[in-house]
Amino acid sequence: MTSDLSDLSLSISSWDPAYGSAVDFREFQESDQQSLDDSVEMNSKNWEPIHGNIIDAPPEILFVDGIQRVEARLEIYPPEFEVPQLALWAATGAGAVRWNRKERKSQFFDLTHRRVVVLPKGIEISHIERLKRADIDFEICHARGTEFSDLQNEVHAQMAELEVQIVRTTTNSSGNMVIADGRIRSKHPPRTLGYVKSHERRYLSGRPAETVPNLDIEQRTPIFLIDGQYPRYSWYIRVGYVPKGNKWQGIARLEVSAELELEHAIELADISAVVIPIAAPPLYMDPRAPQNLVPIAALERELRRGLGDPELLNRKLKVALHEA
Amino acid sequence: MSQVPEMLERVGRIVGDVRTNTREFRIILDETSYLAVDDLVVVISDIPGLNNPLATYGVVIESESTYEGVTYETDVRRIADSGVLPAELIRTATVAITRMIPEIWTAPLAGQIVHRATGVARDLALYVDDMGRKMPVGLAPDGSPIFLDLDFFDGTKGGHMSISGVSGVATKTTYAFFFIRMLTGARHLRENADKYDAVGDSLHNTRVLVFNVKGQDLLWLDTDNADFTDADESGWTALGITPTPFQLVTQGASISDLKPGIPTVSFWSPPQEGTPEDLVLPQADRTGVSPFYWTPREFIDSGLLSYVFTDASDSRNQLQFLLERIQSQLQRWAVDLADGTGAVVLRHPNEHEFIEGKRVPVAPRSGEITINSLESLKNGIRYFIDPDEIEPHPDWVGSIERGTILAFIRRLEAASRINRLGKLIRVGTKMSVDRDLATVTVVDIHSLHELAQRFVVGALLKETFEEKEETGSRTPLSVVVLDEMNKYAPIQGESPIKDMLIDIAQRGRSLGVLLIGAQQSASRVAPDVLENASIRVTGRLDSAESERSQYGWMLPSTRARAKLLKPGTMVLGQPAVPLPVVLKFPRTPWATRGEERSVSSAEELFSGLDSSLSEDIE
Repeated sequence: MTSDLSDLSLSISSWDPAYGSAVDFREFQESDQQSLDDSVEMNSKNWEPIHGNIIDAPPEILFVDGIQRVEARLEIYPPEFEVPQLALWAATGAGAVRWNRKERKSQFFDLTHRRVVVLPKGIEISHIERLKRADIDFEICHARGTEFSDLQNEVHAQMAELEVQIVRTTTNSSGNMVIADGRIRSKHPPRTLGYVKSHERRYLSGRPAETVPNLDIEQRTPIFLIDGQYPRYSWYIRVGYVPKGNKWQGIARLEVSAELELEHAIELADISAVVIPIAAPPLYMDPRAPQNLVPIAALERELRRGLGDPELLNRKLKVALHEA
Repeated sequence: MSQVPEMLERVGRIVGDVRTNTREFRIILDETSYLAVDDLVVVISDIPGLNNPLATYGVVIESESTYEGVTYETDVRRIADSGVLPAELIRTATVAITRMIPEIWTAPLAGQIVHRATGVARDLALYVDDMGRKMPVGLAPDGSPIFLDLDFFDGTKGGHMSISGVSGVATKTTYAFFFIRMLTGARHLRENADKYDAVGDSLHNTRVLVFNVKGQDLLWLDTDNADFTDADESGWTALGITPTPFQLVTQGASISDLKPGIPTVSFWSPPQEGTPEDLVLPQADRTGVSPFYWTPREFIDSGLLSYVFTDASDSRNQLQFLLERIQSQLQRWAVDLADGTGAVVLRHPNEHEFIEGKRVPVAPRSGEITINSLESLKNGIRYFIDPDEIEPHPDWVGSIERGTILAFIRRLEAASRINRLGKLIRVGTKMSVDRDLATVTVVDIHSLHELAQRFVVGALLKETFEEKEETGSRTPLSVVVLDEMNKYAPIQGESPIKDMLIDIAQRGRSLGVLLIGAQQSASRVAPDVLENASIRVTGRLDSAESERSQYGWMLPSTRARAKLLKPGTMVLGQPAVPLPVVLKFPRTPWATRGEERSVSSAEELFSGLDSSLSEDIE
């Protein structure tokens, strides 16, 4: 068997592709310095739970989410390089669930999947020519650097891009309420609600911080402003109770762009306090219950299913690169 | 073959999450389509390496539905109540494969489009194109006929039919008669050769013998059914038969006014004791029934004594030995009385006078017993085998022990009582069942004691079988319908009737004697009889019964369903089609019970009176 040199320049790393990719980087991506104003809706000294209402709630609520999966770590080692360069073969997906509260029906839509090869900075596309033998469609993009974390960040950015696209198309059909999983970013349309289920960062202190654990279902905290690179209004709601758990469990945080009028944000906050707990799962259903909302969990599952079998994919890639 | 599906309705695709094989596959249904159990489907697969596409035919054996994306059972609340969980409602069907064309036993491919098999495709799925002579024997759910290959009933390639099912729903006999109506309508079918293939000449002059064992259910075959509806009528039309009751034929009546193309029926019943011979039934409203009995002469000549001892416990060797001995002695000794009524006397063969090889009828001498009934026959036999003061006649008893002789007499005594066999043996003008009179001969034995029922069945079966044995010709066919097969050919024990039924089951096919046996549980019928039946039919089965190996020809799903079948729905198994087919048959245009009779207003006026009267008599 004779192969030309360029054939040897691309191989699959024997590392588990999932290794090192389990980190959720959503939260540290925007670790900018932030200032907080907890008296935009109510003076922080007077903070107490506010009852939500759904008088103005739209009939349709949309949940948008995206997923990512690193499927293979590629090593590119052209003769002119001293050490092999790492690249990632990844898959991303995003989509939405349209929950019609009147018809009591949810449907997936706009389920989109994309395979992407993230090349480190400075690597030519020609180096991965042989990947085409696997007969799987993929797109190519470049990371900002050459480190593994740079590649990972690029995968994440690709997913976020896909997710924002979905939000944009769904928001066009006006009148509905769009809830995106995780924080919102500047690219999101202003009406998009960000749903944050974990509390890795502490925003409030004093009386406002004491108000949060005392929330009941259908209640919310007053709105506070997170100022920074991208200013947002935010509030806490209770989506469920964890019996015998601490009182912060079952709390979720929402945010919306501060480009929105405060009045408008208040309206969305009121609706969210009532509507979102309906979509919260019972404790046994999900390890991340009750915060991990049913439609979002289902959406993630469906998106993941749509990515296909990772083992099968790995096999195809290996055959293409090492056996063909 | 590949052009067929273009005309057919697409219903879905073969699922991809489980493997197809050469027995079964599953279908995910399109949103606008449905498939019901028993529906037929066809799939065309392009198998790599095969030049022509493979057509796989199958029948739906199960229909299923679920939500896709459901992990927990309570998820359904989140799907259907609040609607927060997105899920897809899916409907699937499981198909059992019936046929592959070409016959290359390869699984259909996952993901292929499935079509509903109608028209030509439907016939292919059910092997109709393979059938030598097809005869409709029921209706599919869509109202089109389901065919039977007659070659497997009339003896050409196979013979006999076995019908099982719980009693009370009256489906077994009703189906048997529905089948007979189709069979005897063959002349009609031949005239409509453009609609169905010619069934052939073998059915010409077919004769059917049937025993009425329960109530008077079978005595209304010539009477309109009051419950017969237009829907039933269209069912019969689809089967190619104009629905009419059978035409009654009575002995001696003119047959010139019979309509052609409609099978005839004659009714026979033993005469009531102490009544005129033509009043054979206690009910006055059933006329046209002819009496039948055997004269002592016929009884002896046909060797009917065997059928007096039909209980399985009578099969002890010594008793049988004695019986055969007595039987042959009776045939040797019996001389006709000169009065010509069928009575005989027993006289030593050396004293018989012959003219032209025939025994000359005599007058009884003093001391000789005139045998004019079973009672006197018993006395006559007793005179030879257990006389009061002298030794038994050695020609009659040989070296048989006295105990056996006494056992024999005891049994004969019991049988000869008037309410048992007594009334069946009498002197008079010849009154035997004339099976050539009508297409269907119904012999009513329901009012007889069980011993007498066995006797009649045994005697008539013997007569039928021996007649065919003598002619050696398969046609015209002789069909015998026998209910309660488990009684006549039980799985255990020996009896002359059982022996004969096994003989018919084994040899009847080539002799043109065909058995339609019915029983509640096939598991209690002699395997020799059951296994020789090419055509198997079941109605509703008892749940324990349906699990038995005798129903191995059904699919597990069909067995489960057989517990729930309604009257009018049967499962048909035939060698020409390797899978059981569920079929419906329309209500019969003749009454299957007295209550179904359509009565004219005048009759209705008195009908209450009649029934109260008949109850008194019964």
